[in-house]
Amino acid sequence: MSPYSIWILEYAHIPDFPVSGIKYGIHNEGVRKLPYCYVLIKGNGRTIMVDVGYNHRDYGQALAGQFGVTNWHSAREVLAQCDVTPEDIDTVFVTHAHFDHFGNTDAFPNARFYLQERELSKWIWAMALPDRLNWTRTGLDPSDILRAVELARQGRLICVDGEMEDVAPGIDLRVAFDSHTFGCMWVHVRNDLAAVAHNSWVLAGDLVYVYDNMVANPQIINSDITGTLDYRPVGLAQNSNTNLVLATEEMLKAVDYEVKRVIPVHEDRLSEVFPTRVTDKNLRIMQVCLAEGEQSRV
Amino acid sequence: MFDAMRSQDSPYSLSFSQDCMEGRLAPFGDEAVQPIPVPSDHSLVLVTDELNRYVALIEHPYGQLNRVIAQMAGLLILGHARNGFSTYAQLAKTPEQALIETLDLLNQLKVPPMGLTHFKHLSLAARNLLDLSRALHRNINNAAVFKTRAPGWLSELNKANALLRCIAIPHSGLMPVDLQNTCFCCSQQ
Repeated sequence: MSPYSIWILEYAHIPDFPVSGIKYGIHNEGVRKLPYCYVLIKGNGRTIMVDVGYNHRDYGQALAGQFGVTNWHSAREVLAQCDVTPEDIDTVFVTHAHFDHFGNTDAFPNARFYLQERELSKWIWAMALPDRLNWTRTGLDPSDILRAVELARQGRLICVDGEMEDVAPGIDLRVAFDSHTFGCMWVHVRNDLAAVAHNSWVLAGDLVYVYDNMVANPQIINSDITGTLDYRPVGLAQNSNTNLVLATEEMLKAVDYEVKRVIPVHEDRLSEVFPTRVTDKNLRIMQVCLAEGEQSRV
Repeated sequence: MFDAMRSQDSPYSLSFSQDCMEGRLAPFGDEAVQPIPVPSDHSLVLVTDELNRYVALIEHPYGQLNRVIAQMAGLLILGHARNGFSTYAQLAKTPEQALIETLDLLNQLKVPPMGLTHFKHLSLAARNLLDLSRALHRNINNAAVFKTRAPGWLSELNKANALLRCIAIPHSGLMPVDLQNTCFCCSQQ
């Protein structure tokens, strides 16, 4: 029996994102749609999100404008598609501190946020570097950190130091330090609650954007991904591409190399792999798995 | 559409931008956006040039102040959670050092007359932050003090942020300022 249901919820997208930004070193390959999504996990009495998107105002809006993000919708609108409100969310795992993953903490008044301490401490370190090293601060919104102070004061920010097993029953936090960002983590949902799981899912954050980061020329046939495993880093590694590739290996190993079980939240073709509903706002709700007794939302 | 919009009187309703981090000025909020009149006579062109020169002078310290605020906010979190000392010790430049440099830089600037009021505003934010950075420095290894004083420090950080936001308007930034630790637009909230 699977205790958790998992949905991937699209909340915005970039219509024309350069392929070179998705796959490292792939130049002159044009553009493709890059959805912005977060993940909802529900079951076992818990309502959990992996990342929270961003708030389309202030600096979040400025960054979104830079990247060409369109069709942004609020967490309240998006979660309503699964009959969940932001107030229902009790836990958020923040895979990393980029604005499109950590930029909407205010929307979840009852959630406890888990963030790697290294993500924070190295970010503080980067802020102290000279102006000529501005690149080390790419994609970070200072005001997100100010909001996080308030979370910490309220006891709702948990700075995690490394890996953490069973942060909720069957859910582990795994790290990929010095890869996409300094303190990246990914979430392993062991949906059979077994120590060595045979029904598990990996929520990859930005360690992979799309299936092409794991498979050469992936083809989707009958909701399955076929092709040869051939890891290619995402287009943005603030640290090491090698560490990104090694993290990809770890994530795939955790699901016995079944590519479908690693969820890249910026993949446009997720809707070809998982049952999907398109809302009247042209957002996609993708249902990865359903717990027993849970109602389908697609 | 904006269910999670921060209220205007929230201490977090502050604008930052990539430009801040790159040492340019921040974008301004909707409430402050005014169309910039196209100068039609020579005198107005001169004023605009003077303003542009002033903006060029202050954009680096302005970006630096924004970064320091975020940095101190991060240290507050770490200090509150456990101990911020190891992170603090690894900084290329402590907030206090950065602020002393910034104040030195501000003191060396030859500010055009039209920028004086605005400049005082910027300097006030820097001085307030320096006081706060010294308090952080003294207590960086003392989690108990951090927990006790964090609300006050956070409040000070937000006040400094509010000051910076008021002057984050590149073209109409020289707004009326009263220096009672706030300015016209802050006092309207």
